[in-house]
Amino acid sequence: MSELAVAFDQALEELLPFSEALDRAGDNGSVPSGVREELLAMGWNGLVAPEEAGGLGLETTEMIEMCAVAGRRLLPVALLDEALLLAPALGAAGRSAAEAVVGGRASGGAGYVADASATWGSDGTLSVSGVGVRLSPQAQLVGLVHPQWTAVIPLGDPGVRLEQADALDRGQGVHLLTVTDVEPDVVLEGWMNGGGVAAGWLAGLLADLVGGADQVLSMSVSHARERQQFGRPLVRFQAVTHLLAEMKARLELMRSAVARLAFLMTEDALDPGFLAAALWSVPAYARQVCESAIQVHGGIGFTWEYGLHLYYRRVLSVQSMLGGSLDTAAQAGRAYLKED
Amino acid sequence: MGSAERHLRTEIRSWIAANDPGPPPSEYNERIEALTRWQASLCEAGFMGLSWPVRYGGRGMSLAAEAVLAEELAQSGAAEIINRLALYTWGPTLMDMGEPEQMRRFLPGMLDASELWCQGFSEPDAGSDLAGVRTRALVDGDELVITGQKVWTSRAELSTYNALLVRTDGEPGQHRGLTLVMAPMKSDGITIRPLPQMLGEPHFSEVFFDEVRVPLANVLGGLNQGWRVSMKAMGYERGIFVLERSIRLRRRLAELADRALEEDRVDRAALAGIGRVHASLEMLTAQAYRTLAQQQAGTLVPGSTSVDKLYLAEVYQDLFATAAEILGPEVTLREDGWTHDLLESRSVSIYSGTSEIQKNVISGRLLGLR
Ligand SMILES: Cc1cc2nc3c(=O)[nH]c(=O)nc-3n(C[C@H](O)[C@H](O)[C@H](O)COP(=O)(O)OP(=O)(O)OC[C@H]3O[C@@H](n4cnc5c(N)ncnc54)[C@H](O)[C@@H]3O)c2cc1C
Repeated sequence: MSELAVAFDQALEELLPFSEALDRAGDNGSVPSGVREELLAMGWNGLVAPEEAGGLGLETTEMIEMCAVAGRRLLPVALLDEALLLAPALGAAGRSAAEAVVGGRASGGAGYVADASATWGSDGTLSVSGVGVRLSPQAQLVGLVHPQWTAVIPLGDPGVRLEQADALDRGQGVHLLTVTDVEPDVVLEGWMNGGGVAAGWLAGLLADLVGGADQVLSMSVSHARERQQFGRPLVRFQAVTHLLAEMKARLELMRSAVARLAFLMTEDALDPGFLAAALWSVPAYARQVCESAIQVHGGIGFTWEYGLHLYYRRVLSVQSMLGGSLDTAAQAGRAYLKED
Repeated sequence: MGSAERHLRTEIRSWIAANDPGPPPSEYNERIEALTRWQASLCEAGFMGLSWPVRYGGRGMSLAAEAVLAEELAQSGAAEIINRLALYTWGPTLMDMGEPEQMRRFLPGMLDASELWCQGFSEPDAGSDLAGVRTRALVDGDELVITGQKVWTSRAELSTYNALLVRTDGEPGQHRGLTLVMAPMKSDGITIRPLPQMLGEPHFSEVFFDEVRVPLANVLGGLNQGWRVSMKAMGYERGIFVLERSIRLRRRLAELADRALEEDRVDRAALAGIGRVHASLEMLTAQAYRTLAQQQAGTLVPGSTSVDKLYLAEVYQDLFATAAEILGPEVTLREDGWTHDLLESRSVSIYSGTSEIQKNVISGRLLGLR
């Protein structure tokens, strides 16, 4: 890990203790403002934003490492969206508004518009219905990423309707967003526009899942070493070690996927076929890892206290936001047939 | 990927466009002949052993160059490389652990496919548990005298050399006392009895050794070093080999997609199936690239290529099961090709270490659970 990532990891360990993540999920709370202040002071929101806008302008590989740390430590997801999507999207459009996000004066979140439920009016206004988005408290802006475009919408517009949707991933500010004839603040065409804003956000989202999978695998290995049944530790049962081996294989595949994504972005060679492939695979594998983690733990893995569900909920909500397993597979199929 | 690799890509692409003989014949013997000719011409054009040192007939390029070749072969639909066991497993192992004289002797024939290789590891009582090898080799002067039996030796009857694992010391069950010897298959005392596979093809054989004399000079890595040599070889086998195998899968997926489009079979389920397989193949390739980069940098963790092999089997099997679903009974009940591959895919989780053995390696070596 880079020095920056190690420092970030240590800071998050203090700022976001696991027990508090559980509490937040319990009463559907959001990021405590003190924690948010600390993260902003560390420059989190400027992670990839250009230096002119007060950002750190991190390279994709470094950004991905930071996101894996965020996933392992359960950083509230909307903060990922502010740093990886809102700040650079506003920055790419040359708005001083980027500075407001980097400095924490503007907050928000983002969501993915997978299907054709979005329509553009002839006057450049956008309508979408029922899109899952994750929002910081007092959010003013939301970034929407679609395979063909990225838009930033002002939430204060009368055409915006938000409905709290906290069934799956509580404490993360998840909402269903409906937008009717709203003029976006910013529109970027394509994945790689503005230096790859949308692709960067998606890569960060997937890297976050890598961090979570890494964490639940470590928890599972420790548990299987310690827990004894039939007079021996669980790791003496091959059925258990094979589950752990499959989890490890999935984790390594996820790492390879994200590394390749970063490489292709850096080379300016990312094609929609690979991106669509990663959008199906990484969440699907992360999900398998979480499900096996729960299985390896037995009853304790199913308890609220133990908290495996926090990682599992995060995976499920990302997978569902991207359209679900079947739909992301079909999108990958469509992208492949187009290239073929 | 540097400019040398980019340049290579253009070079290979235009060469294949001008020289690709088209898909190999389906009849077994004709196919073998065509594949052998194909590798010879690839070699003549300078594309075999891209990552091998120049002094051994290679081009001294990085492993990324091998990846480029694999990609271009896959993209063009060109045929696979018949002597891949030599090219990707035993050649590299020989260059690591062999004597200069052995390299001069064996490497050229690996490259141009004039000498095909097979691998004699498995025996009736030594499958997953390789330490169970009983085939005995006694040292007699400057020769080994080999007696015993191997099974499932792929392409034994076509091969000039056998990378043969024998016991020169110790008891069955011990890693100690195994030796790897490069045995000429034309030696007196070798009997090959083909074992038709479930595909009906004569792909592998039982091979019997009756006091077969092989020069000690053909021992690779030293007497009683066979376990170390084999483990080294398996690391290679599961590395670039996986990338090479994925060539075939990419080509078949493209054929499936074309056919599904042509016959108007692309409904939502088919899209999702094609998408899943495409995605899995991309992940397999991403994994193989990472392995190559680590091999090149010398940072590859022992045992990590088991992830590649485990996943290769999964994707292989998913592709052909999915193809059968999409193409439907008119195709799977009537036509040979897809049915052949559906059946063949079951072998991938058995050969070069079963999937269960790969999981043992992953949990043992990567997770430290022993
Ligand atoms: C198409 C094909 C080509 C082949 N080509 C060659 C070749 O060229 N040269 C060569 O030497 N061999 C070759 N083989 C043989 C292959 O390497 C062996 O079949 C393989 O190693 C398994 O050994 P086995 O068949 O004896 O099965 P076994 O070892 O008896 O295994 C039977 C079952 O038990 C499981 N098992 C065994 N041990 C364990 C364990 N410790 N933990 C969990 N599960 C376990 C296995 O996974 C498998 O499911 C080939 C096989 C096939 C199918």
